[in-house]
Amino acid sequence: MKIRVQINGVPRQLDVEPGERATAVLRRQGALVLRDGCNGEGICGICSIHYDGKLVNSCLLSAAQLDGHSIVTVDHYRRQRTLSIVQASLLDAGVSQCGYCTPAMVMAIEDVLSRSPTPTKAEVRDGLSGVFCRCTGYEQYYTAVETASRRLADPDYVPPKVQEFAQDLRLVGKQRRKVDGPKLVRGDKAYVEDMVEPGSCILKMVRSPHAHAYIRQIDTTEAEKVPGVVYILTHKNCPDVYYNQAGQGFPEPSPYDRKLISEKVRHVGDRVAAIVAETWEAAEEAAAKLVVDYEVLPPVMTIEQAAAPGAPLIHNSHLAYVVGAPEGLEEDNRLADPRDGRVIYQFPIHANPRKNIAASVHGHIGDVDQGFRDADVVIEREYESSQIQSTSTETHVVYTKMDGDRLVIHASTQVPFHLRRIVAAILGTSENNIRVIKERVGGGYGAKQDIVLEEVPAYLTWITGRSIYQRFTREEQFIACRTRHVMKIRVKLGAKRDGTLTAMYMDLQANTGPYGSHCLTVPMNACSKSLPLFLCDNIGFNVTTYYSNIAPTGAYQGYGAPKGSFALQLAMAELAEKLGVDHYALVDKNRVREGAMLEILRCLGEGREGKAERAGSCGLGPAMERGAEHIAWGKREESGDPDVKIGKGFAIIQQGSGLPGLDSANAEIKLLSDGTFMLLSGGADLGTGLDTVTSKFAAEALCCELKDVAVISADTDITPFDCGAYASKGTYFSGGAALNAANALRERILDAAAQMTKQARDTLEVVYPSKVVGPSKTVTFAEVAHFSEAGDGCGQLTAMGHYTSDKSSIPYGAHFAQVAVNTRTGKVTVQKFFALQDAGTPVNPELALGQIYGGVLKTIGHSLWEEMIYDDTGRCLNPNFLDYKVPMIEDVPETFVAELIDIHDEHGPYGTKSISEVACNGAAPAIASAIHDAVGVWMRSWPFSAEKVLRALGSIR
Amino acid sequence: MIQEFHHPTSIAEAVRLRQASPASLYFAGGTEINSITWPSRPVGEFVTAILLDRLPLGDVTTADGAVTIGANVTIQELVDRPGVPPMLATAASQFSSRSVRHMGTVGGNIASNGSCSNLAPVLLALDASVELADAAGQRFVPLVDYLEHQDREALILAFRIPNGWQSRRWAVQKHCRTAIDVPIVAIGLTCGGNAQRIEQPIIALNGAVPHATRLTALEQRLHGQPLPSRDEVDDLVRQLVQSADDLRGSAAFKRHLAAVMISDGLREALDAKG
Ligand SMILES: Cc1cc2nc3c(=O)[nH]c(=O)nc-3n(C[C@H](O)[C@H](O)[C@H](O)COP(=O)(O)OP(=O)(O)OC[C@H]3O[C@@H](n4cnc5c(N)ncnc54)[C@H](O)[C@@H]3O)c2cc1C
Ligand code: FES
Ligand code: FES
Repeated sequence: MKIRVQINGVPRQLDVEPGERATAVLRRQGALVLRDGCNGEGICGICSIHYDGKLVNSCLLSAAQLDGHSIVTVDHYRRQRTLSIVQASLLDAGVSQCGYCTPAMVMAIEDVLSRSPTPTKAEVRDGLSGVFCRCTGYEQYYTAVETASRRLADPDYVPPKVQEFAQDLRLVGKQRRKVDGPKLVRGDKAYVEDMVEPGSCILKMVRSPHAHAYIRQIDTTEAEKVPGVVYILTHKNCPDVYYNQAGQGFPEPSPYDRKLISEKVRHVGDRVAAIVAETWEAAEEAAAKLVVDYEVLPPVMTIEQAAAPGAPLIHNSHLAYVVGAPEGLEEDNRLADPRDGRVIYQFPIHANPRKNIAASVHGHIGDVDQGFRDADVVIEREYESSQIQSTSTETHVVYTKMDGDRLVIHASTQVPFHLRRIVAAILGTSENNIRVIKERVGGGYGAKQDIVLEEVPAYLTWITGRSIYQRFTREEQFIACRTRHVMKIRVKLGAKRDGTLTAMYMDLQANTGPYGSHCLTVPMNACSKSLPLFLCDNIGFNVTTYYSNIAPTGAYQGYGAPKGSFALQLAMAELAEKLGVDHYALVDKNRVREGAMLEILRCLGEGREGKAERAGSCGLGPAMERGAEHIAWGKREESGDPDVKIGKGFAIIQQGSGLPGLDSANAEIKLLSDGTFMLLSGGADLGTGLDTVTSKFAAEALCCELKDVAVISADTDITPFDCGAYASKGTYFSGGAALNAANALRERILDAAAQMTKQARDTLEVVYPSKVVGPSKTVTFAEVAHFSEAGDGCGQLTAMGHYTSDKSSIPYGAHFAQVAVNTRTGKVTVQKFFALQDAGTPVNPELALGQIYGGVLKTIGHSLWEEMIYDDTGRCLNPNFLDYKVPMIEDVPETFVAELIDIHDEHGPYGTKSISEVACNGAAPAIASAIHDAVGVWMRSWPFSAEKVLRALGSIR
Repeated sequence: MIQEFHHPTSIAEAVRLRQASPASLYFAGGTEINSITWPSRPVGEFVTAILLDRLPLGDVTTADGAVTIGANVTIQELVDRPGVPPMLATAASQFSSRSVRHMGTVGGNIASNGSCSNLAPVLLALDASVELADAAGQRFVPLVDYLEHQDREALILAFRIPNGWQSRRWAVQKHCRTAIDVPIVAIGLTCGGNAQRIEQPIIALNGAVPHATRLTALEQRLHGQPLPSRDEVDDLVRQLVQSADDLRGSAAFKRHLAAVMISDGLREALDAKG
């Protein structure tokens, strides 16, 4: 049908399909930034536009509804390259992280300001109520709107800065606009979806409707005849290569327990056939014509079912070990079913697939039994937590194409170099035939640490030569992506009457689902990032991970630590109650302190020998004190409503800063002819601000302006190797590499300047701004560059930097929650949340705060609402935003404060530690102990839904 | 998949188009029709959509104390426009997000007649009637009858809230998990009198039931009586509400919520809290 519509002020006459959505129509008109976060549920608001001046979701509008109306998209606010007031204010507030939601937020804020130029907090909350942002925790949007509002009245308005750090440094610790920010707030081409060329094929994955089944027969004959179908991959024609999708350093602790497509399906949504077609319609038609005959097996959904004697086996496979094969392996392999394929271990992880055990580990220090015998009080409690998904606004997505005889992968990944290695192995080619370009990532949070979809289109492009685009639906994001392992944790604590801990024990059972991505390390992290928070001579742990038929699990921000932390921190609160002492005092008495020896780390070495370490810089003391002050710890609050009880709780938290001894990062920096720099960093910025960190480090070390360093990152053809963005390593490792490269280049600049000016090398100094000062002569970097690049010069000045560390600078924190529990409805409202964290020197303080807000709000979501629910057949019942509830701005605590503790770390580059993951560890235990404080029940299973609270209170049975 | 859209400019034309094709549907804001997950979205093979946005159904008018609200009035307009009874404006402001409120209409909300409307119990409690148009002409029917015996072919033109709402006491509540969610329970209630003697209460519920419903047995039990104890009201409601387990909670939980929200709503309306 023909419609007349005004788009960004220009009248257009368009031919549209009546039923198609406005999002598609406007995209065809060049409105790039109409992104899609929920495929048209109408919940995420990522597709926002103005319709006759009002904010609406374009996915809820049919093309026909555009007829006769006026549309404004974010393109309207993109005036040349100049940022609009709102865009600039978002950048200044540091609230554009991954940036995927940012254009929608721009539209929402413009809408608020058009109605109310000086909006109240309630008006902002209402105006932004329809846009989902998973990264930021929303708090800094209030600052952005306030700044924009003031600038509307006074364009020269300069907003107040957040607290800055490291007084002796120019850039590190100072608030500066994110280097990739303008591109994100303007809505420029930045993400994988923006790179897809016309004429590319799409990939549709046909997925299993069964949780556990063998594929008896698969017939593709009719499907292949559909015009436009290019190729169909099934288990019958896929390479016989086993691998694991976990993007971990090689050799990985995760077992190689899958092929591209297996003969056995192990979860609802497992791969059955990959259809490459020229159109989506052709792929759909082919999918409908595919004939699959399944031999359905009983599904195994829970830890109990997996551990039960005689349980159906998920991987009754042929087992092989690269090193360390156990005795009796050959005998054992006689039990294998060939249809289950193989499992290859790089080294032993104490697995036993014949009992559904994917991995196990145990360890202790001291004499744990004696420790419990010495205790005056012993408690033993079990804690459970649900399966949750990270719900990045951009789902998993990839675009693969050939460039001559080389494969190019445009990826939304945290691990471009691991991706290249894994894909090379599957293709049976060498790494120099593959280029991975990490585009801007619309939210990673760990789930993009795994090669969840890239390898299939990569393989199919490699064999067909066709460019292929694949993008997960929101449903696939739940059922076929990565989620946090389900865990059951039994905690036993022993203490003297005075509160001194005598023994601690954690027995952890985890459910890894169908494949063993991170099956050893995520559950282990639940112990290694929680036990070292307390000083105790006798500590033990036991971890067993089971295979099952739930949706795949893997890495997610916090990496097991949030669950371990929930169990141990809440057990400490329960111990305090049993001892009759104040929870805060008990924690303070036993908590780790700077200089303490962390013996337990000896047993917690990620699949290899660990090493005891001394605790370095530790901001726990000030974090606890500040938090207690903020929340008025110990003061009872009244709601004024007898049905609503108020309680307070807290937890202490820690994480790591990368994996010492395992991780490495590299960077290269070049001096350009005009004295500016090009930094090539291997590090993958996921929106966390890593490119800004590396640029700042380089500019700081080279005494130049931040704008004088341009950064290209995470392109395997251009930038040097980096393990990737995981384990909170970005600032520490990738930042460290950039700093080392800059320091090395500074030396080369000094060498060249000495030669050029004929002054003694040791009399020269690199001085801000961009010059070398000597006793008799000063030269600029541009002059040095000119000298070295000349026909008789030494060549362009470049330097490499490499970073490894055997130190684990631990970021610490304390989180405090105040909740209101309605004893009639069971509703828990988090009224106040204070997150105090020690990140060493925060390089970008406003972005660091954003990381904290974002991590905390995700975990408030996990604690109160989020959970994947299955039926008996193994089908996930809530793989969408209608039924899986993620927090929106209206769900944010009324008082939400993140604060950075000023502390310098002796090992981290410029005194830094990590920031992002640790923020996920405190909310669950803090909220659970606050609920107990309010109404006297211990919520030992998250989410703490209203129904569970009512059951705990005995109001319903 | 909808293949054609019509843009009638008169009610008669809209009704005629609807009669002409059994596979047609009225299309207002489209927020339910187009959402791929909203539970009460129309399911079925619809070929023809009849867009209502050019019909003169966008007014809120007041005459002799009665308020008439056109079917095309959006949820956000219910919040913003003068003349809308505060009880309805409150319910509209509890409706999930502003982006959906800008497009969704009150006509579409009531016509979808599912368990997830948080406006329907409020319009019931305001004793609204609905003005319908179909081949037989235009007529008013009580909302409670419309919801019970819905004629899906009828076009909703407007809702009329009779005079008298101004002096009635009221309470509105919505319980859901996060701000953008299907209500697990939504209630609306109004009454005259006071805690010592309740007059003509109207108590309506949605969420825990298939579509918005009045609890007439409870209304009768309370009329002319002093407000009973909370436990008593809780028990009465529990006996009246039939619910089913689903993702959002068990039947027992929903019954409990309905009970406490209604009994607490009554106390709130009658200033008898505490
Ligand atoms: C993300 C999201 C959040 C939501 N939150 C809420 C909420 O909090 N509370 C709530 O109550 N609802 C909610 N809804 C549901 C929906 O948005 C509302 O019910 C809205 O008011 C529907 O109006 P509409 O104009 O968009 O209806 P449409 O989608 O146009 O139509 C809905 C149905 O009504 C019929 N119809 C429309 N107008 C008429 C008419 N005049 N006469 C006869 N039939 C008609 C249509 O044929 C269709 O069957 C939500 C929906 C989404 C997608
Ligand atoms: S894609 Fe439109 S609301 Fe999510
Ligand atoms: S910045 Fe909002 S989703 Fe990433």
